[in-house]
Amino acid sequence: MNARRAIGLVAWREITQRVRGRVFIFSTLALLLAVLAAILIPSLRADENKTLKVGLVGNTPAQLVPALAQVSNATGSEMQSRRYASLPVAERALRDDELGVLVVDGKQLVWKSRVDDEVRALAVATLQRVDMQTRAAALGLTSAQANALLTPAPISERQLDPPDPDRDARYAAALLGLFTLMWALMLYGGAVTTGVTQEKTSRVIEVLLSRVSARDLLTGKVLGIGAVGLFQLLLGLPVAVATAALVDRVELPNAVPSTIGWVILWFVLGYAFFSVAFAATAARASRTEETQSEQTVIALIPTFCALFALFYATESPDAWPAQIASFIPISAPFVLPVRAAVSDVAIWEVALAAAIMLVSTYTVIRVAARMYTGAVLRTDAPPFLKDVVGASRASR
Amino acid sequence: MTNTTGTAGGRRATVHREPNVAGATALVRTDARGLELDGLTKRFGQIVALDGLSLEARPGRVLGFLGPNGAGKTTAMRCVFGLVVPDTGAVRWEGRTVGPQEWRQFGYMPEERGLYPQMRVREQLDYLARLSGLDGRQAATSVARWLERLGLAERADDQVAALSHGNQQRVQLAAALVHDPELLVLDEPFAGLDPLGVEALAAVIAELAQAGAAVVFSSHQLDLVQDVCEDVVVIEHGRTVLAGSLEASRAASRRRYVEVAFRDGVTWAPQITGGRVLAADPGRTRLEVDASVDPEHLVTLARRGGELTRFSFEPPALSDLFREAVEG
Repeated sequence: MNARRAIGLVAWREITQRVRGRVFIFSTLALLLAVLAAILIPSLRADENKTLKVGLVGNTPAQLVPALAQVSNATGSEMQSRRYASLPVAERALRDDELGVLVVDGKQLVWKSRVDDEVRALAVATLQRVDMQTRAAALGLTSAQANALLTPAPISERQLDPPDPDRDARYAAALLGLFTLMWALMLYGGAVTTGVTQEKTSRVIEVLLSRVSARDLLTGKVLGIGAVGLFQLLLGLPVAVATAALVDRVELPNAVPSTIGWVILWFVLGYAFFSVAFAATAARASRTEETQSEQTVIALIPTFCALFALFYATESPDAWPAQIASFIPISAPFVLPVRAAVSDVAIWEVALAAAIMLVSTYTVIRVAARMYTGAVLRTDAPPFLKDVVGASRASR
Repeated sequence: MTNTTGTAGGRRATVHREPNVAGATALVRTDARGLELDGLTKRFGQIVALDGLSLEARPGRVLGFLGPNGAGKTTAMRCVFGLVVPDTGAVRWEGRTVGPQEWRQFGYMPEERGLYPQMRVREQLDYLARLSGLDGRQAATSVARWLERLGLAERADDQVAALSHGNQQRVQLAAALVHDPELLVLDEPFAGLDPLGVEALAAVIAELAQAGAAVVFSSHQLDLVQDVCEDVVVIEHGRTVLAGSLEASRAASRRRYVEVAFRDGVTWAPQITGGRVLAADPGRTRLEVDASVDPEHLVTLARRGGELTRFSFEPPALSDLFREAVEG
């Protein structure tokens, strides 16, 4: 039996056992609910904001309501206005959230608490224009003359170095990849660790290693658990697209397809590297509690790298720390996609970083396999690296 | 690559296909040499686990692998499967150094029992059979056969964790046997079994050896080993102190054990050159004598003590051999 078949069998066992488990069913449902919530809740809030409710009290110019309606329509909102007999009644309506803003005498805006900057800008501009039109009429100007006077002259603009129109979409895709990688590492990196520890604590490891090499066993485990994770992600994707289409929020593929390809590549490379690193940690530990404490420390590494990518590499993509971080396996999956989105990254940089990732992943698998075989000998206390590697100079 | 000749158990490897220099295969006839551990040494820090250990286990025979706790039995067994790599020495099967190809033809029941507790019995055995190289259909057939043979057929779809300790032991044994191994290595297989379980396992071991497998097992239950084994190896401090066929080892011993029973509760404690009294109770005396002592002479002496109802002059039992070998 060749290594590929052994890896396939191990991976298939992981897939079938996990898909059947309650954890998979609950986490899939949770993921789908999270996707639905992420799309539906902002959409509901967006619907709420689409109606601008304006209260009018006092001496309101006749042109104000049609002018506000015109501006609202131009910005995609619907305006509802209501006239109140007195200021206290109008303010009560404002307090009861029946209104978004109250216009007093056509000259004052009253808010309940928080000022909506967008509405404020529209209302102020409209009020000032109506006021100017009133003053122009008082000076004897016709409506056409007033408009000719008040309409601002168009100012032309040009850019010496116009930004990439797809930059935002690419950046969004890179961020999506970054957060998906973090999420997958939290969920499935933990599953790899737990799976490895359970094989040690249930002592089935000795039965397995008498049949299959530790390297094939770990590789199959990472692939199997990774496949379950990808399956969940892929399950979430059509649900997200269908829901977004249903609520008219499909603005997705502005991003260049190749960017999405790079994001997926770095997701896979990063997931593989960190999963085998987690497996190596679990191979060294003896009990679940030890694994959990060590994993907590190790989980800080991708978190730190993600924060570095988010707050440093985004702002200074071509500075030397970001460039160096692109070639370090623990930071490359986070930093490189973000840099590629906001700056120009040479293809040789991507190729070199990917090659370093692959070699590092293979090396970590080998080290983890040695630790795994060596750690069979002891379940009492976590061995030091030199102990396990020395105890089993396994060539398997 | 091994090409097995057809037998009841699907084993008895006597013909091998060895790739030659040109890449073609040629049939090479060899003697079935079985398992050889040749001068194994292994240190764990300051502890010497194996110190030049050698042994041989032949196809079709059962080898009892004995030694006090900490003698190095488990380490030696792990060396067979590459779980521990010896510092020096070699492990061979049929004359070849063992590797992944051979490991998949071996069955192993480790001292530390372990299976996936949440996995169903049939699935678990099927998975292990396939990891050992069987295809889907072969695995299904073999799993069904061993489940039936070990009385687990009705529990096939239960999770391992739901089984009794005894049934889990049987599943563990099935896991070692499911791919019809040519070599079976069992570390303390009788530990924790009830008398019926012991009987069933002893029968399975005998059956496997009869079908041509080499069987090696360790145990502290020496009476049991004496009943089941044809060959025996005793080790201490990682070194072989006794090896060979059980009967030949017993016969080769320089000691004999004499048991005499008297009708009238006589207490007989003779002074014998080349021997000593082990026990002299009323009506029963037990002696240890040199193998050169003439039994007829002892009978004559005993008759002077009283009327005999029983006289036996036997080579040492395995427990005696073990004590002699370990205590020197």
